[in-house]
Amino acid sequence: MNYFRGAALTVALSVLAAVAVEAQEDAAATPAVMARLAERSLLIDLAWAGERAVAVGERGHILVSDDRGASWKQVPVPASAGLTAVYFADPQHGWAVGHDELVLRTEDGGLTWERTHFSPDVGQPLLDVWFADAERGLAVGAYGAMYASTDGGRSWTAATFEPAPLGGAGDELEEDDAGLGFDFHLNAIVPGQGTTVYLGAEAGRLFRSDDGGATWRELPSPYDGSFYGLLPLDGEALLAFGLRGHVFRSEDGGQSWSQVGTGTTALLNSAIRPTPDLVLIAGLTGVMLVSQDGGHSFTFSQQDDRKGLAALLWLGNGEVIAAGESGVRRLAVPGLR
Amino acid sequence: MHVETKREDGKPTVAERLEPHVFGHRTLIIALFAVLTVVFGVIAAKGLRLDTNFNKQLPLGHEYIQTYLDHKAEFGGANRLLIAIVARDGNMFTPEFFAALKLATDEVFFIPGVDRARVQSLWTPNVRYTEVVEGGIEAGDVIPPDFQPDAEGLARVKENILKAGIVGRLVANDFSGALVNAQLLDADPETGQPVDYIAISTALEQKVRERIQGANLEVTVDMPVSVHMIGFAKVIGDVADGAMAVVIFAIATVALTLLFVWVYIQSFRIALVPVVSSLVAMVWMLGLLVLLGYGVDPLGILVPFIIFAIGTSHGVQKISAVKDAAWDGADSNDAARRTFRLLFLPAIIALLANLVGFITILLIPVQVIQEMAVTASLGIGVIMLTDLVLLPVLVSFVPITEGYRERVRRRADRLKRVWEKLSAIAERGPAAVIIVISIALGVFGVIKGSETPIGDTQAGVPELRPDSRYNRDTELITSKFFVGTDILNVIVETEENGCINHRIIDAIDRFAWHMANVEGVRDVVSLAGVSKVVSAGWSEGGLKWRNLPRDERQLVQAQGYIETSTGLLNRDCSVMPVMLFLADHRAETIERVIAAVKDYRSQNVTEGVTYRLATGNVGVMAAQNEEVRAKEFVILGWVFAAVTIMCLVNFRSVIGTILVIVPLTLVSILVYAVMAYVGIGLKVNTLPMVALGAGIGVDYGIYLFSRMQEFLRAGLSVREAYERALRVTGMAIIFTGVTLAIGVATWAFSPLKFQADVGLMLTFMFLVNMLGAMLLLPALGAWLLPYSRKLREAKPAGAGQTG
Repeated sequence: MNYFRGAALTVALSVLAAVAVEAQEDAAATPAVMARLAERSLLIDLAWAGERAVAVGERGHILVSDDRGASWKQVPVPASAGLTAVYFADPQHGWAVGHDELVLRTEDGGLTWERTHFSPDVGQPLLDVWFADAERGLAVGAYGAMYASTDGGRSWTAATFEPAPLGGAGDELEEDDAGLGFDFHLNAIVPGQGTTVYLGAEAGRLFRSDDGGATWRELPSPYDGSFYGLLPLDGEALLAFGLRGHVFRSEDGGQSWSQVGTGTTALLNSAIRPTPDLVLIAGLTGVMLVSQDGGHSFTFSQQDDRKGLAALLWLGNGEVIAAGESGVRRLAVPGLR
Repeated sequence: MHVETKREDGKPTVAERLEPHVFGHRTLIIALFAVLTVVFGVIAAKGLRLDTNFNKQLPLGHEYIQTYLDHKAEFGGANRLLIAIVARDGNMFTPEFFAALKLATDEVFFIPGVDRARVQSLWTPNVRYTEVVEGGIEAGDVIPPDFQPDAEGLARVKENILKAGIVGRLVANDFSGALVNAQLLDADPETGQPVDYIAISTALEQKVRERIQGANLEVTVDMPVSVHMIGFAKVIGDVADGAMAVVIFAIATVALTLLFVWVYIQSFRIALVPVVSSLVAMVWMLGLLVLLGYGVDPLGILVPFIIFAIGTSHGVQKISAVKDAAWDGADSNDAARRTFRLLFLPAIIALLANLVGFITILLIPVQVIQEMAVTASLGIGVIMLTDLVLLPVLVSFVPITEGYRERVRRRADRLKRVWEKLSAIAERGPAAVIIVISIALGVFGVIKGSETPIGDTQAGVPELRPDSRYNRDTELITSKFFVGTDILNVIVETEENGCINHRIIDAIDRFAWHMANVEGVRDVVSLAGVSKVVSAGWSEGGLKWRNLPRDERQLVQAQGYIETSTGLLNRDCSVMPVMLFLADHRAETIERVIAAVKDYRSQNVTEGVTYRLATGNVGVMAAQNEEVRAKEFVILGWVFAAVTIMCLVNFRSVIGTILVIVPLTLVSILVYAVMAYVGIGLKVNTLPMVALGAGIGVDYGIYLFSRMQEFLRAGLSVREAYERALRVTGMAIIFTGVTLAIGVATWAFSPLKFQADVGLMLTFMFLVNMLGAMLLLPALGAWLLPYSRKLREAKPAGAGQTG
């Protein structure tokens, strides 16, 4: 009698538990919805996986194009949190990161994705990802979050971001009251020459690592506003850009900066350098800045629809693939043809 | 040559008992009718108004309308006004343009009934830009207080417009124009009276369009700017303008009817009688309408016409009986009395059949339609008085001359040969041809008729013609701005402060995205979507932050600036509509979107989240369409059942009933085919007309067969009976059809599309039902009547005699 009662209770409890787990399972953990309009949704980053273009964005959308951006196909993704960045180390190995600290990896050039990290409890986004090779990489995000992987993104460990302060030990980095370390958003991580890596961060912070991201030091900043991207040029030359149309150029690896005029106050999201002379920077309200002198000066242009541009991929012949507020599409770069 | 029904027991019939009372007090009766007509006329002239109550068009009790009523207080109706000022040369950044926009904004602001706090344009202080700057957010009016309309000032405004993110909402996608967006209140806060849409529409015309565009209301090339206005109040105003054109149709209808009756009856004075009687009926009906507290809505305005037409058509039957009597040599008093006795009962039965047609319309739970049914039924009641009492009395005063008798005789002789030839169709051979043709038509009708869509078939406001100024304005505004006029709101009910619960707002966001992907949905606006953008704004506007924060405080921050006036949330943030902007309001589109919502909510259950259909203009249309679909066959079933019973009672013959019902059914099928062909959808406006057309269309069959039956009972063959019946009533039936058709055919010229549609449908039904009775009925009779035992055994000395 007791036995049966206990068994029944156990069964009942386990059913309840199962129901509870199901009810609590986070919606962001459900697979991305395959949607007719996915290619028109907010898409935030682009990357080449060999000849294949890959776009990532809101609601766990990942789309691939095997015809240089003419047509796109949404691929299944085992999560539906918003994605913020994608990076490919080679044509097969790639990673995407996003909100709720979602990290995805692919081994087949972006056709299938595996979820390897996800913390909806933390509730904060990862904002960029970079891999030195197919094994070693870093993911960075809000409030100084940094994760490292040495197994191709299968597992991730939280790294404490403790950059060497500017101008020596005496000049302490700003820390919050609780002493939890660096508290600004790390917006962009960009590889430079050799083992050099740059970080662009909130509130005008810039960082540099010369050992592939193991140790960091802060760079002097020309600006209080946030940096959203960096673009290493030849040698130690470097562009940094971000809030309100600001672009700065350094010829000495970030030690000194001079401002470059842009003619816009739009937030600048990302940059590409298809040829040594040609530099393109994409920004909000459809802004595209074009430099034909290696980033010394820029011409301002703006898309008619005023929809923000988030990322670009060069196609050649004056054309790019652009991702942004109105999805992904091919654009002619103004003034090149 | 007349047939009188006498009771077999020899007791006097009702008509016989009434006759001395009616004809004994002829002057008194005419005086009474005259006084009452004047009274009702005055009441109608003083009290008749165009009724524009939006709520009366709603199918009350329907799930969607319940949703609308539950949330009306907080979200209002879809009662928006959009006034677009468009620069003719495509560039809005000119001093003239901004002056015109300011004038429009100011004028709209002061129109009574406009919710002043919610008026939005570049010139109102509630339209602001925010800008992310180093260390925070900066905000300001899009048109700064120190605005000067010079190159510099205009460039600054353009910059601010971009920062404010209002391109497509308040400013045209191509910077060629801007909108003034206003919401209307239900009641004027100063007077407490319901808002007068027609007055608002007039004010918009006079104070905005005229002052900006000049007295010339059509846009001309040299004008710097043009004005385009849309919204429910404007529709009502334009419809009211169009509806007033019926006064012209009324005059034309009366004149044409008089002409045709004259041609038919061969005497102007006699022709005047049914026309005057019907006008009296119309006046009484309008007076009663006012006494009931009803207004005339643009659809109901057609009812007096239908009443006039029915009154005249029955009147034609009456005066044709008078003509017969006159031919027999009766004087006018005798002829009138004989007619009174002869047609008292058949007329009541025929009118009851009409009445049933109207009463079944009550099954549509839409107040305007039900009021229409009630007023039409009242009209039938009035016709019973005017046609049964007033008309015979009036006609008894018209002297019948020998010359008139001669004219009638001459025509009867001429027509005799025609009827002889026509009666051949009651022979089996020709009858077979007609039956085969009818079957072919029936098959065609069923196939083509099944294509008749439920609801609207075209874009734009269906009440107005596609090329009306309103619909052209709609097209222009929807092409230049990213605002639709076809909106379906799904009301999402959650818990208190549901909007700052990530689980709930995320569920709404997922639903919104699902709906955005449904074909026919052009755009989706929800609190979730707007929150994302605001949330990104708090993070410097970066696209990577365009996400719903999980943190409650961040959600509060993201939504703090979204006011309830946006219609995206209610005061305690428990109810959040998801606005679906549809590409159009064709029934197909509506059904697809509604089905998608139902599918989604059954498959994606989120605790504490209820997706309720539906408000917005498309919500109302969806409810109406569903109501029509549900009631279509019920209504037609009742009409046919009632008509069948009436025929059975009247003829006491199953075959006779079949002869009347089959042509009626064929015409009802064909009217569907006509609707599909012309592109008229079956909707709340048109379904009643199908029922009504059947109710009235049955008259011909009843008149013809009741005559045929008498001759058959007298032992004549089918062909002979048909020929005799034609001689007696053939012309009357043809002219009845023509008279009824005239009464409604003039509507085809109405500036209002649905009046034109309804006119076309009724004209078709009246004329083709007439043909059906004249041709198919005898053809069927040729094959079926020989099987009628009752008639075969009838003795020549039966119920009637021929004169």
